Amino acid sequence: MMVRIDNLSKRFFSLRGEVAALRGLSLDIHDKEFFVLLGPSGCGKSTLLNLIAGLDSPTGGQIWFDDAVMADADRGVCLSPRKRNVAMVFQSYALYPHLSVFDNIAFPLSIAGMRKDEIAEAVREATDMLELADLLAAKPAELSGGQRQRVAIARALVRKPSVFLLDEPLSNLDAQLRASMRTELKSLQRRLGITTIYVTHDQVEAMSLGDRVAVLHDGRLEQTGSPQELYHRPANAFVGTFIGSPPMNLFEASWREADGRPHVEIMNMRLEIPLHLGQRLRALKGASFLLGMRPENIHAHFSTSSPLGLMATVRSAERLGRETLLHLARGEHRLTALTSAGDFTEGAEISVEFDWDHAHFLARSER
Amino acid sequence: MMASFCLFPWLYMLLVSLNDRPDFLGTQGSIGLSGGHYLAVLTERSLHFLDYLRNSAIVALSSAALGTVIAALAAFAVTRLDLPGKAAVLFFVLAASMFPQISLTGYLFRLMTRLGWINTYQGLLFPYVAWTLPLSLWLLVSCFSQIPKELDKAALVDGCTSWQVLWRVLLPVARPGIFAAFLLSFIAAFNEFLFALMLTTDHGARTVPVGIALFQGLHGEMPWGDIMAASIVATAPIAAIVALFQRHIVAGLTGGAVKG
Ligand SMILES: Nc1ncnc2c1ncn2[C@@H]1O[C@H](COP(=O)(O)OP(=O)(O)OP(=O)(O)O)[C@@H](O)[C@H]1O
Ligand SMILES: [Mg+2]
Repeated sequence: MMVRIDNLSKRFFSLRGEVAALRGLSLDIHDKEFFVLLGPSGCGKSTLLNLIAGLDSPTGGQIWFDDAVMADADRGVCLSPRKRNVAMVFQSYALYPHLSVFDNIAFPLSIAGMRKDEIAEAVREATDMLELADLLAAKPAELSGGQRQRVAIARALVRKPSVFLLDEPLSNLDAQLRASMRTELKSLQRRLGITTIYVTHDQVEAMSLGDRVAVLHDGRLEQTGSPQELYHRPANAFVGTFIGSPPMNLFEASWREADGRPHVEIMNMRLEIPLHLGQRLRALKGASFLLGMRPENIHAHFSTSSPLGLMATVRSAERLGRETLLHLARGEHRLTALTSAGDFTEGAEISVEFDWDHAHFLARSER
Repeated sequence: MMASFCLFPWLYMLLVSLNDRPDFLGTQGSIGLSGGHYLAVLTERSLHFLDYLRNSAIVALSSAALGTVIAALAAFAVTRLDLPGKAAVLFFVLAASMFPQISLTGYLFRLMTRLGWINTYQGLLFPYVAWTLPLSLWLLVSCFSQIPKELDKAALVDGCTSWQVLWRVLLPVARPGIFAAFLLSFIAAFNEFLFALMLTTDHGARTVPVGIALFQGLHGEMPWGDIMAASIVATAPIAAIVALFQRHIVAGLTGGAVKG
């Protein structure tokens, strides 16, 4: 099932006045795709998912499943969830506390009026897939978090939905369980080939799960692309800093050409940059922009004279296991660098070197 | 200490009801135990005690049932539907429940006379429903609003209509609260005195509390033994219910226990 979202907007009218949760969002989600909606808290991810499920109606724009319209604000069309054949998994699992595991999973089928023996067969298939067969008689209150999440997933999948929606399904689990559920979920989705839309604010989750990821910010779409694209070619400063951990350094920068060679000026220093980057800088128009450098592309050396002459002081060294994250200061400017040499001490003067091949020249965002 | 203080009147009632002497008040001598008063209360037709008991049971059960159904539907509407001014409704209900009972009696009596409902079950039923509704409504609103909204969403996505959400998910999940609301309104209606005194004339609809109070009128003197025996018989079921379901009532009142 293909999902097309066209210029969708949603405004809430509440006691604190009008809230625009989505502002003209357009997305195309392909058939059988694992699509991730990523964004900080409050950016409208859950709102979008609720609109797709039919739990809420948009105030503008349209939603299409293949070529059937699900919601169209202009024509006042909005199909109820039961007509959309979507399934949803919630952050709090939302299992029915009064029903056993079996009855929870059977619930959507029994609402649909399926025969008893068919229900039993479908539930068995789903519970085998999610290894829940031993727990059928238990009540949700007796289950661990991971088991509850499996039940919620089984309940969603038992109906063979055409679109599978997940709203931060793993955020209540501990780190280890989260990692193993992630792989399991991904392989399950591959096997069943159901179009999946997955909401998260965790970029690691988004990068490891998504075929494609859409980054949302303040009700707008910032960028859509494969995890690699988002990481290596962020479209703007927001995506650049939001994706990647530890986050990218951003420098206010301007550029000019002197002696036919491109230079950038950051932190009150003029640095010569490789010739071929001049092209990309010219494309930016305007002399001032943001320079993005990931910490792993900033190299720290002990030598007191760097070819590029960029010196900095170590403020603190944060050991992350294999690598060390250096928090550096240069005047009032701050930057971070990732290094595998572990013996930098606080207060030491070091030289840093930028790996220009991985520099990101980002337009200042209009907002 | 507290318990014995609370139980003392009841014990005294028990003693008096079991005493076989009319001058039970001077109790220095031996206390003869007998079930005579119970026998009298339960068998003597002229006392109509069994009629009162039946009336009480019918009126209290049906008003509690009707009141709880109305309260559950109203609580669903208030907590789940997008209604304008639902907070106002709740406060109005609360304000209405503050009215002293006595201020309504005159009006109620005239209304029931007009309707010809004096001394009928429905004449008690509707005032009782109205009287117990605020409590059960508030109880159920707090109970429903503690059920996470994601549960409704899950049910809707699973294909339920709004009615199915209420019927198959919310009501079963809210069962402790509904049960508590039912029991509390049953007890309130069973104990109610003023409306029953005013709106009933004889054993056709008179309830136990009024009936017992009027034992004296029937016989001229105070049949303390019979009164106490009747009181024991009438309070025993309530006490038993409370003892049996205490846990449920407390659970329902304190809400919680619905997290999935
Ligand atoms: N029913 C509502 N009434 C009023 N405002 C709402 C309502 N639902 C959401 N909002 C507002 O819409 C915005 C987006 O909310 P939404 O729940 O979609 O965020 P989210 O991206 O899912 O955040 P999180 O990661 O914290 O779940 C927020 O500013 C929120 O306050
Ligand atoms: Mg959310």
